[in-house]
Amino acid sequence: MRKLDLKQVTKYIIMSIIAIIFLFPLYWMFVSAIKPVTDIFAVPPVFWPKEPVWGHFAEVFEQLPFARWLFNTAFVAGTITVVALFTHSMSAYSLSRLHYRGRNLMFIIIISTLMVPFSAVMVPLFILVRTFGWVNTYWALIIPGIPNAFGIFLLRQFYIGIPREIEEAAIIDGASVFTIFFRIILPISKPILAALAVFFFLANWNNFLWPLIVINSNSLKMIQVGIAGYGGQYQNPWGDIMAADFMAMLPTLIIFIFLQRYLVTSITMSGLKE
Amino acid sequence: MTRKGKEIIAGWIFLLPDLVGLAIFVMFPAILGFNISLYNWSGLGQMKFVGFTNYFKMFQDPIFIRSLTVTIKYVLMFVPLNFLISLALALLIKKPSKGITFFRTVYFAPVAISLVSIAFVWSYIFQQNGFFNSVLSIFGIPSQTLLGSMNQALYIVLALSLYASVGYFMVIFLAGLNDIPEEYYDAAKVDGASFWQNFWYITFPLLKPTSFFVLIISLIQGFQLFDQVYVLTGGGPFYATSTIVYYAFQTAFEYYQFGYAAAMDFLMFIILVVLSLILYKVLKGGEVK
Repeated sequence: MRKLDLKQVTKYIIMSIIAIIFLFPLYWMFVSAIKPVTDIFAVPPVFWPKEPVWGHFAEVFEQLPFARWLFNTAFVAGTITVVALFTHSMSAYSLSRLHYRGRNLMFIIIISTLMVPFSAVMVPLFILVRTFGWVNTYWALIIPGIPNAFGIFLLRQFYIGIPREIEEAAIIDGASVFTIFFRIILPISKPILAALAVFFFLANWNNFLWPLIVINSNSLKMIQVGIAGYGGQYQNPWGDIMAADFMAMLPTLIIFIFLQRYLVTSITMSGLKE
Repeated sequence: MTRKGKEIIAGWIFLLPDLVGLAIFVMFPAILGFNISLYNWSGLGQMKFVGFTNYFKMFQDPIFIRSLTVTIKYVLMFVPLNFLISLALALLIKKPSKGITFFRTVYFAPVAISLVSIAFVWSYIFQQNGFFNSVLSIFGIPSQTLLGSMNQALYIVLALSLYASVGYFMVIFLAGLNDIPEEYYDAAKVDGASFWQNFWYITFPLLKPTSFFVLIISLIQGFQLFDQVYVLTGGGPFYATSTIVYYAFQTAFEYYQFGYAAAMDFLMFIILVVLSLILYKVLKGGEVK
């Protein structure tokens, strides 16, 4: 029995060391945001400042349109999530429960778009969006982010698994396709929609390359692009950068802590069910 | 109208928004991208048809060759390390025991956080007078150049990528591991199998579909390395961390050579498709016989 205990103890020690490595950057981000300038590069490193400085957080809001950036990000990520889940549910329902010629071909065409990584089309997509006159508008941030075969694929898998009887009763009662979709299908897909919602929202909140390309007006920037410019070009003090960084990250961390199981669900479903 | 007729119409109406969206914002740009790659174009004004010149130009462009080499080197390190670490983490926390949820949450957390945010702390930690070097000095190791070093910068980028992604793949492995019926292990236990025998004869073969998925996704992700480089190194020093996507981004949006950038993107697209197909053939799509 002693051997078993030793094994367990070793396992917990290893897990704890890894956990410390994983938590350290987040801790360091926060603690550096409240350090006075003299502590920033102090040797040996300061793990908790003697006199914490809370002013960096306020400075970020004074120097930058930080609140506006947060709003932009929440608005864009939120809109994409809501609209995408709605259109993906419709597509997935069509591809799984409705019968018409060409359905399988459409499914193959939609799935094949998964092969096209975003960075392979960033130049033509930019040209296209510029032709529409969308550069430096919310449209450029939102509309191209909506269509996404990944969400359609996952929802279709889910709908295929719904027993036929659930619909049949409604069909006998003379319910239309639309009624069935809105009254029966959407309500029972709440758990999977919640899982995808968390996934989509975080992915869009953290999106960087596309917003970097299509937005250069300061007031329309999304938070990632905003802080990237703040840290890079102006050589700002590290305390301020870490404060901005921490606040940009905080919403996603809070969402993660409370809705982690939804994120796990959506990731688990993503690859494993053929 | 008959119910059948209504169903056909509803089917197409339901499909329409996404189908149109995907056609305009994914399929059409993919074709347009190839078309643009055949021109010399500053993004404004006249387009000049040059055939495949942009593709030949790439292989005489030392910066492109450098970026391609850096990308391949990075992918060759990222894909296997990401695979091993995320699998190891999944095995470590697979069995339910006290506090395991806490550890899972901690390892998984970086997945929710943006690469930009993480890259800034990384940048701060790996400054020459930053935390990393002061830890080294405790062990008597001399101060390293780190982000300013052509040899070290890419490893720092790699460490950041691994930090941000192993939690995601750990969750995928965990799901794969949980799908393996416990009876197999019970039977092996009766036969007195060791941990490694268990792993080699049960876990690994049955984990093939998951492994395939992890390899493909991490490969595609690795090839598209951008955010980390943009924030952490700006491709430097001396292009030591410049990647294909980063160089294509600069070519288009800083040097305004849209045709040339589109050619790089298209080449990367082809590389990814070919690599995915090879991987699929080698692993036979992860089918378990």
